[in-house]
Amino acid sequence: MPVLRFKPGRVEEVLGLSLRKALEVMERLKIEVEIDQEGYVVAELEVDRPDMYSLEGIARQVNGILERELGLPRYSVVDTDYVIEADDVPTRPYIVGLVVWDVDIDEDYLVELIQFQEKLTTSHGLGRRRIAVGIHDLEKMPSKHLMYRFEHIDSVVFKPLHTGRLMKLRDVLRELEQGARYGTISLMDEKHPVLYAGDEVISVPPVINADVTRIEPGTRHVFVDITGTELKPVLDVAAIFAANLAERSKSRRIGLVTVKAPWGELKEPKLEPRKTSITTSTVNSILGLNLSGDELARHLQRMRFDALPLSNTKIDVMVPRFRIDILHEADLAEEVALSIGLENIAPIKPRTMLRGRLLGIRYWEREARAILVGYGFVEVKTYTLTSCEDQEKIVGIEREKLITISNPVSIEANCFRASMIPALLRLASRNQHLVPLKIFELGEALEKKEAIKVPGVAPVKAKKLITLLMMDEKIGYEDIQAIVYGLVKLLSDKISEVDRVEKPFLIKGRSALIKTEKGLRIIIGEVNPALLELLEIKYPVVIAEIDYSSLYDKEVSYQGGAAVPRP
Amino acid sequence: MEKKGIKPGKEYSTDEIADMIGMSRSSIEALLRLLASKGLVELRERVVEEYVLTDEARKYLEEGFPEEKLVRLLVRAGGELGVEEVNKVLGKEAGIALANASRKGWVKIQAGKVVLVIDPSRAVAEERAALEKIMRGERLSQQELRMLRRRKLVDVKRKRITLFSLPKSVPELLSSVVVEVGALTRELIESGRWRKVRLREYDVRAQPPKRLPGRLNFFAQFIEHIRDIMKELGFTEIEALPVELEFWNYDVLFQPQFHPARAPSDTFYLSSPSEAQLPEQLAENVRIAHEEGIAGSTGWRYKWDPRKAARLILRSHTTAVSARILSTRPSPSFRYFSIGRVYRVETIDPKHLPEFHQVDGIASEDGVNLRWLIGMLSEFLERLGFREYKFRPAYFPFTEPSVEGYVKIGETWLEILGAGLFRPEMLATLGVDYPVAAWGMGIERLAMALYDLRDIRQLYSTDVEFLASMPSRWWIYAGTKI
Repeated sequence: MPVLRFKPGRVEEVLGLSLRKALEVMERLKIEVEIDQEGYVVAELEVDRPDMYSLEGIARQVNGILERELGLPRYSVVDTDYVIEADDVPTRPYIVGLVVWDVDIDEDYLVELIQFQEKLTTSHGLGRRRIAVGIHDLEKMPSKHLMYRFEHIDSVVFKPLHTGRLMKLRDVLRELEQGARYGTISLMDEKHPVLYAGDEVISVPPVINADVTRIEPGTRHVFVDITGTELKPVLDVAAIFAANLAERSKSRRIGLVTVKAPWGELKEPKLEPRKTSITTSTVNSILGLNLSGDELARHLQRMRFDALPLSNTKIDVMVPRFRIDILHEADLAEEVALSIGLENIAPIKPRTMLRGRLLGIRYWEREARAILVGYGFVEVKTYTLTSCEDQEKIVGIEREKLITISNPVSIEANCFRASMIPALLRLASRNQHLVPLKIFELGEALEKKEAIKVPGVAPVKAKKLITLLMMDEKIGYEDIQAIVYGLVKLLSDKISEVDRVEKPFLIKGRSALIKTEKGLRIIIGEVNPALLELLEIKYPVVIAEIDYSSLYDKEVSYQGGAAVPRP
Repeated sequence: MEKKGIKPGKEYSTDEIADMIGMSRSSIEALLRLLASKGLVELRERVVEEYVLTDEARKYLEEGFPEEKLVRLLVRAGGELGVEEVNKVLGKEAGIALANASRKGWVKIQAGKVVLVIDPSRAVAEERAALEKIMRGERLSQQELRMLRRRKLVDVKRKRITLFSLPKSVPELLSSVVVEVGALTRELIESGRWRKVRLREYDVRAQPPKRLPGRLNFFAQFIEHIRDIMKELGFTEIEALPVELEFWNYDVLFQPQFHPARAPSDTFYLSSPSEAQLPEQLAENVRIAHEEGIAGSTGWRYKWDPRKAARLILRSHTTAVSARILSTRPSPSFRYFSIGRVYRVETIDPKHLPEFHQVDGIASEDGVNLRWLIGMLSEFLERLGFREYKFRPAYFPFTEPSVEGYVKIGETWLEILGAGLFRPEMLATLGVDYPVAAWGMGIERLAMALYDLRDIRQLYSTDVEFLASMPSRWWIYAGTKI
C-alpha cells in the first residue's frame, strides 16, 4: 500500500486543522496515520484512492466530512492552444496533456508533488510501465506545439533533468540511474518515445524529462504529460493530476490540451462527472440501515458527490471524474458508511442456528497426533516451501514430479515439498544433543499430476502425510515398526500388506512399504548411513512416512475443487 | 577389614588402610568420614613429623658415604696413602671423609699418611642403615635422628594425618548397622531385604533432573483451536489445494490483472506446472465483468487476458477457497470456512515469512449486511477471548464495503482481520444472487501476540527442546478475557 510522508506543519495548513484533529479525520477516511521519529506524518493509503495521494486531495475529502464544502468540487476548465501531435508509438501509444495555472510551487510543495507523481506511477502506473507522468514549468515550454514520436536512440540529443550536459538518448538510457531503472520499458528496436515542444526534447517517457522545462520553487504554472499503454488509466491519472493540482491553485484553472493521434483525437482533461444512481433500499440493505433518501444524499454530498433524491427510492448521483474507484452502487454504499463512521453503526448478532462441521478427517488426524504424543513424540511444524535439491537428493523424488517456483525468495525455498522427510532429517541433525529424539509432523505435500486435466483445477496431487523420525544411540527397523503397527491398530485400522522396498535413502533389507485396510501407505526403514553422514548426523535414524491421502479422499467429498465434509 | 588384620581399638593411618584394601587414599578418607559421621568408626587427626632425605643423603646412598669411599681408596692403595694424594682423589669430600673415618676409628693419620685400621668389610656407615629405615617408612630412635640431623642428611616436615580406629569388632559393628540405599529395586523387594535397608532421604528442595515430554505442537494446537471456534459459530470446514490458478485467486474475485499484487514481486508463480485449463463458461463471465462490467458495474475497462488467468501460483489468500465453494452456488443459509497456508513473496525476517496461515469465512443468510458482518466478527473475536476490539474502514478489491478488525493486546492495537461483503461483480460472475459476507484473518501474527513471541520463526521452531518445554497457555482456549 502506498505510504506518504508529510511535514506536520503542511498537514495542519492544508487541512486547516490542528495536527491531532487532522490525524483523527484521516483515520476515518481509510488512511492509517502515524508520526515518525522526525515528527513527520506517515500516512498509509489504500490503493483504491489515488485521488488522496496528495495533501490537497485529502483536504478535499476532509472538507466534505467536516461539512466545509459539500458536493462536487468545482474547477474552471478552459481551452488552450496546446496541441500534442502523436505519431504511432507502438510501445507506449497513449498520451494526454494538461495545464494548471497558479499552482505556485514552493520548496515544500515541490517535494510533495514529486511524491504524488512517484506514488501514482508506482502503484497505478505499475512502476511506470502502465503510466508515467512528466511535470513541466509551463512558462519554460519552448512551444505550444508538441510532438510525440518514436525515435531512434542515437538520433535524440538533449540535456536531461539535473545533468547539465547534452547527452545522446542512448547514453541517457545507459548511464543515468533513471535510464537503468526505466530505460527498457518502452524501448524497442533501439527506438524510444520522445516528446518534443517545437524542436526541443522536453521528455523521454517513461524515463526522464529534459532540464529545459524543469520545475522548481518559484514555478507558477505547470504543464503535465501523461503517457501509457492503455488509454483509460492515462485519462484517469490525468483527471486526478488536474484536479489535485487545481485544489492548490488560487484560480482553480485547468487548461485542456488537444491530442491528435493515430488512435483518435481528444481534448482533455474535461473532468466531466459521471452520472449514476442508487436505490435507497439497496444501499440500506447493504449497510443494514434504514436511511431516508435525503439522509443518504446528505452523506454522499459530504463525500463530495452531487446527490439529488428523485424520490424516496432513487437518488441521482454525480461522481467526480477523479473518483476512479466508484464502479458500482456498492461503492457508494461504502461512501455512506464512511460518512456515518463505522463506530456509529451498531452490530447485529447473527441469530440463525447452523450446525458447524469440520472435515471428518480432522478427527482421525487429532487422534493420530495424540497417540504419537503418547509414544513420546514431539510434534514439529516446518515450512512447505523447501529446497528442490533436498527433495531430489535426500528422498529421490524426480524433478519432473516437483512443484517448482519460478520466483523463489531463496534456493532454500524453490519447491513445494513432496515429502517431509528432508525437513525432519535436517531437524534431527540440529537436535542431536537431545538424543533419544522422537519427532513427527502432520501436513500437506504436493506432487505434479500429469494424467487428467480438469478445467479450473491445478494438475497437482495433494499428499496428506504424517512423517515420524526416531534417533538414538542404537535404534532400528523394529523400533519404528512397533510404533507404526501400534498407531495403525489404535486408529482402528489393520495392516494388510508388508513388502520389502528399495529406496535410496533407506538401508536395503531394512525398509518396507506397508499398506493398511483403510488405504494408508507407509514407507518405513532405517536411514542410509551415507545420507546420515552427509547431514552430519552421528546417530542411527529410523523414519516412517504415512500417506493417508486415500483415507482423506474417502472422508471428504469435493465441490468446485474444494473438499467439503461428507454429507 | 578384620580379615586383613585390623584390630578394634588400634589406630591406623589412612595410608595404611589404603594399602591394605587397595583403594586410593582419597576414596578411603571419604568413606571413613561417611562412616564416622554415622558413628561407626572413630577418626582422629594428628600432626606428625615426617623425615625427608636431603639431596646430599640421596647422593651418599647411591655413591657411598665419603668415609666409605676413603676406605675403598685405601684398600686399592694397599692400606695407606699420603694425605695429599687423598685430597687429590676425593676432592671436596676429602675433608668430610677424613673427619668421619677418624671419628669412627676407621683410619689413623701418621706422618702425613692415612692408614687403614679397620677390616674393610665392616666399614659401613651406620647413617646408611638409618636412612634406609626412613625410606622404608620405619621409625627412628632419637639417637639415630640426632646422628642424621648433625650431618644434615634429613629435613623435618610437619604433616596432618587422619588416624582411624574401630571402636568395636567388625561383626559387632555390622549387626548394629542399617544399610542405606539410593533406590528401591525389584531385587530388594523380592528378597525381602528392603526390611534391612534404609532408603536414602532426598534433599526434596533440590532441582530435579530435566525430562522432555512428547508434545503436541503449540502452534498446531492454536490452529485447531481456531477450527473449533469456527465450528462453534456454525461454520462448515472446506479445504482446497494451495496451488491455485490466478483465476480463482484474483480474476474471479474481480481483482484486475493490472493490480500491483499480481506480479512476481508479490505472488509466487510456478515454473512447473505453470498453467491449467480455465473453466470456459465461468471464464467468459469473468472476462465480461472485467472488460465491460456486470451487475450494473462499469467494469475495469481493459483487455482481460485468459492466459494470465490460467497461470498457476501459490495462493496468496484463502479467499480463493471461498471463491471455489461459491462457484457451486450453495443455497443460503450457509457458513463455510477454511484454514490453510497462503504464500506471498516476502523475505524472511522476524516479522515476515513467505508462507503463513489464514482462516477465511464466508456466510450468507437472510439479513446479511454490514451490521450483521460486524456482529459476526464481534462474536468471533469475543470467542477468541477479546473484549476490546474495533473496526475501521478498509479496502479489498473483492469486497465493498470493507472493514478491518483490530484487537487490543496489552497496550497495543493489533490489526488482525479483513472483512466485507463480496462485490456484486464477483457474485454476479459466479451466478450468485444473494449477498455474501466474507472475512479473513492471518493466524501467525495473532499467535505471536498471544504467546508473547518476538520472532515469527519461533512458530516454526526447529528447536525440539523449545517445542517440548513451551509452557501451555491453556487459558487462551478458555475464551476468557484477554
